[in-house]
Amino acid sequence: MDLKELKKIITIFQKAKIAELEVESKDGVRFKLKKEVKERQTPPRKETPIEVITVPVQSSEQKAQPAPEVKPKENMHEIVSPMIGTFYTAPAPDVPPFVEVGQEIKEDDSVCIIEAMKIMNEIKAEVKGKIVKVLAENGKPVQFGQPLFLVELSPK
Amino acid sequence: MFSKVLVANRGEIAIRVIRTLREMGIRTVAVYSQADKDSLHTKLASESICIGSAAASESYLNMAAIISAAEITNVEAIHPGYGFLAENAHFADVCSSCNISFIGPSAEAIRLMGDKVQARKIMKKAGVPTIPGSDDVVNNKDEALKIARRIGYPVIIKAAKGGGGKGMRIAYNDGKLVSLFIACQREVEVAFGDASLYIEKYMPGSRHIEVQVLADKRGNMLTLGERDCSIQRRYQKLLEESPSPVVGNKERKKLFKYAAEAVKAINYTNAGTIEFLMDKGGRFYFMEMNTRLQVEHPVTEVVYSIDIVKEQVRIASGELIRYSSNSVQPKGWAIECRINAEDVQADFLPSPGKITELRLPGGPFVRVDTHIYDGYNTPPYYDSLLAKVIAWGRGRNEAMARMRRALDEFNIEGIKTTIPFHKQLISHPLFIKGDDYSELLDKILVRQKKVTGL
Repeated sequence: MDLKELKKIITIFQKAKIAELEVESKDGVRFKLKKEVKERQTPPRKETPIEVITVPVQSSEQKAQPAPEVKPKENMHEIVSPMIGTFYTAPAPDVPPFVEVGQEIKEDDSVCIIEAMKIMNEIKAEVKGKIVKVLAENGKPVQFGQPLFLVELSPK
Repeated sequence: MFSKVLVANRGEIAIRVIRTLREMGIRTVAVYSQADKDSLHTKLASESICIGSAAASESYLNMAAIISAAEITNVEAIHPGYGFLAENAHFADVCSSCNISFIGPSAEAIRLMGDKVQARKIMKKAGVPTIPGSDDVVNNKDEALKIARRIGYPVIIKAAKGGGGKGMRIAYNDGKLVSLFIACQREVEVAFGDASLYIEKYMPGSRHIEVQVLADKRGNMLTLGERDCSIQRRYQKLLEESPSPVVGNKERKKLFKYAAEAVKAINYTNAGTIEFLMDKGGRFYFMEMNTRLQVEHPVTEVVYSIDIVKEQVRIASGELIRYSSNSVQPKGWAIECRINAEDVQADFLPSPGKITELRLPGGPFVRVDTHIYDGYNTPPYYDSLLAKVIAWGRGRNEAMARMRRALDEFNIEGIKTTIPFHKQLISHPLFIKGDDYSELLDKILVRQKKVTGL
């Protein structure tokens, strides 16, 4: 069994409504796949973590291949508000916003403005990654600690 | 009248203020630090908003955050409670420039009385007797020595911009005065940003007697009796009562006259308290004025049946005091015990933590102002006050008996509290006698040491 075949099996397993699958290939590789299946008939999302239990194999030459890692939640980061104020996505009205969904950002980039007592405070990203979602509403108040952006962090 | 008010405080006082605002039909906004997100005051307000991280400097002392919260929630006024920004003249100014009413006196009155040296000067000029001491700021140790020799030892060195008992040192002779003076300057500079000191005669055994006043914007004024707050540890009040057991009727009349003169001298508005010392001869001396609502205000409220916070809000919104001095008469006697999360055996070390069991006192004529609840985790970032228990009686004996009963019912498990200490206090013969408290605390603490062998 090669990696391509393994990936295929895993993809099929992800989409199927099975909770557990044990596979033994012709060349002696054995492995088990496990996942949670919800009652509802919705297809499993890509992010559903899949436990891969690899079983050691007789032949020393054929090492069990670890499954490709399903995207875990650890590299998702929320930029939260460091202060209370009003959230603005752009430096000024009628001007494009600081960042947009899909945009790559670096630590020093300004991502938004939080206005308090007529002072416009530019908020820095402080992380490196990609904007996945804007979590606060433009022109609306935000509290201290309120999530503003969802960022997918760049690998280190 | 305001339709929406923000309460810039936390704990028991935030709840107390929110309660009155709700009774008046005013919408309320609670602010909280991240450490206070499970705090009771946030649950009792119409809206609550997180303004910063745990440290007071980032949250409850953070003017920009509080004003920002006020603007976002569109409030018309801010009640500052006590402590934090309540006596910050700059904050009162900022509120004013943002068109938000500050529920309290004017920034000018706060500024004037916040400078204790200025306050003494003003009172002296108004004919109110002040504690013998320096006429102005004492600039160096030579001036200090001259003043001490004039008024006689012992003397107490105080910070001009001070308060809360911080930076106060007692000197018994020239040598001590010189070294303490220099140490004080340093301490006070750090604590208040201003090294100005003044000196007063130290009068051990005097009673701390304060007068509650209310004044509206037209100059109408009410004196709501006196409170005796003589039982203190390191300048922190432990127990207060109204009226004072050592003030006779003749003295009381004089006392109220001085208080009225103080209010007039600075055109004071809203609620305030003028603090006096009463010496063994029954003479009163102005000490300082607190331009805010005080912790122990409930004692006055239950004796006068007046909601002081309600009057604060009314006065701030431009309404006039609707009581005449004759119609306002005290009735009965009230005692308040301040219960703290402190370990008495460990020199009153703060003892924050989770309250695993709680039984609050109640019943006739017992009032409890508190923010604690069963399962509450007391945060370590703020003061250690857990609850105020106030007991009213037709006379002092009944008030004491009622307090004894209330404290017996009061149970807090999971953290160390000063409930046992207060139980001893309220039953001690020296407290019951009431005329001389100079040995009271020592006697109770010595007894504790004997019992625990510490």
